[in-house]
Amino acid sequence: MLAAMGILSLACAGIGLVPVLMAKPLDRVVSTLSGTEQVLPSLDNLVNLSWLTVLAIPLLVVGFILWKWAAATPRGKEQPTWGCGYLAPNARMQYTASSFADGLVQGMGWVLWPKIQGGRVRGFFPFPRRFQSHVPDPVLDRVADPGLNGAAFLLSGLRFLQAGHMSIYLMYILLTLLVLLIWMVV
Amino acid sequence: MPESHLVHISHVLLHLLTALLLPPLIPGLINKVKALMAGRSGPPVLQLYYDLAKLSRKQAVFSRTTTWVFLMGPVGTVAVGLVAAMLVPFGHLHAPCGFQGDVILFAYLFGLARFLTVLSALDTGSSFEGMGAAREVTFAALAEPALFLGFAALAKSTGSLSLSTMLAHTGPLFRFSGPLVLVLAGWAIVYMAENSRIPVDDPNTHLELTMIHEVMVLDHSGRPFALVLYGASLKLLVLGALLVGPILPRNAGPLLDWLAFYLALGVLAAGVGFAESIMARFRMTKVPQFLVAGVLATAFAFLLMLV
Repeated sequence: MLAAMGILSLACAGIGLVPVLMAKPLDRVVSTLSGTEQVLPSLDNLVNLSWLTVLAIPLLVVGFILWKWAAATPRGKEQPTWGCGYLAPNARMQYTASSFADGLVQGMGWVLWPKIQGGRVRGFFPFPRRFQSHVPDPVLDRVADPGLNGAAFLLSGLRFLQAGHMSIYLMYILLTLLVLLIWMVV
Repeated sequence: MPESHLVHISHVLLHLLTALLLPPLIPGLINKVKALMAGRSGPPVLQLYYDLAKLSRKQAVFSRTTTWVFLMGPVGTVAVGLVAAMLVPFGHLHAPCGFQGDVILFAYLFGLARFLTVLSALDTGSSFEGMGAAREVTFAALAEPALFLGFAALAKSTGSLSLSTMLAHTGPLFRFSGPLVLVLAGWAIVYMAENSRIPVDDPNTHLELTMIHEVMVLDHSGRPFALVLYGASLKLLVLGALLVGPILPRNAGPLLDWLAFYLALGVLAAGVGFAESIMARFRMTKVPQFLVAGVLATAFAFLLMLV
């Protein structure tokens, strides 16, 4: 898992640092998708991508020097992370990925439709409550899955056409040819 | 060597020195204005220089949960800020580096710095720093459209995608005077949000539940914290150059241009200090509305440029 993530991260860094290498493959993808040659101008002609590599050099050099300088700071004894006076944090208190995204998820709730269950505490000395939140994928879970399931349900009504007899399939072909013939004539 | 080359080299040197040495003065000016408005004498204008010198000598305490990722935030913030400073023109003279499309690199260099700062905050394993990181990226996501719509309006008016031409455009403004006011209003909101200033965030608060940027750097000390403070002041300078550039006098000549730039930065710092003195920070739930106002202002400017 870590190796796969590392390779992807390196690929991202590579695209950022030497984008010229990606310009030609991307142009090929664009020309294949558009179906014709030279519909759009080449990416390399639009932006001088080599500037990014040129500027990456001072960025990395300055970063390296500052890194060395910061790492050479006089070090005190290692301490626990600042806990605002609370010294016994445990894994149940950790800041999770869903907490991290909560602000944007709430703000974009009209698109993402987060599913939230429980969690509201009422009155003094409340009973233990359960809370769970889940953000279904808006495309896969909200559109693609229900759409494909609906289509599968509707199309299951046509299964009787698959009778399993060769003669019936030949009849379908004959009927299709007849329809095409009539369409051609008309 | 021809005289024009010497002038160019001296201009680049001055640009570099300004980017390296001037930033800590800006928070000093802001704090001085705030102190004077409150009837206090306040800390010296050069206080941040003293603080940086002190922090670079002090011992740093590292949390035992942190890894090498922890240093990426402060280092990245300064390195990225310095490279971004080479792309933005200080006044109406062209930046040392510039190319078509540098405007996108400029915006996402700060995105890279933010990403590294967020990683650094999450590396501590602190819930508070995670919360601050979440707020930072949420508000940044709302500030980004305002920045880009402003760029789009400037690109439409100048016909260029290079910051040096867009901000240091020497030609007439034609129909752009009105939209420019809207762009600058939107960018002023972005300036407050990106630099964690009142009314979006309070750089002086140390209450974890209300902080945004400050809470992300709670575990930094010593030299890493010095880099955090210097990086924040560098961002004030670079984004300030973005804000004051379009309104500086045109074709004033190199010397007057530099003087006008420094003066405008001083006025901007005083304006930030004044605004922070007369208003409180917004409730956290009001901040997105404030940022959306910035997006709307720049969107209107872009629409006006299209019609």
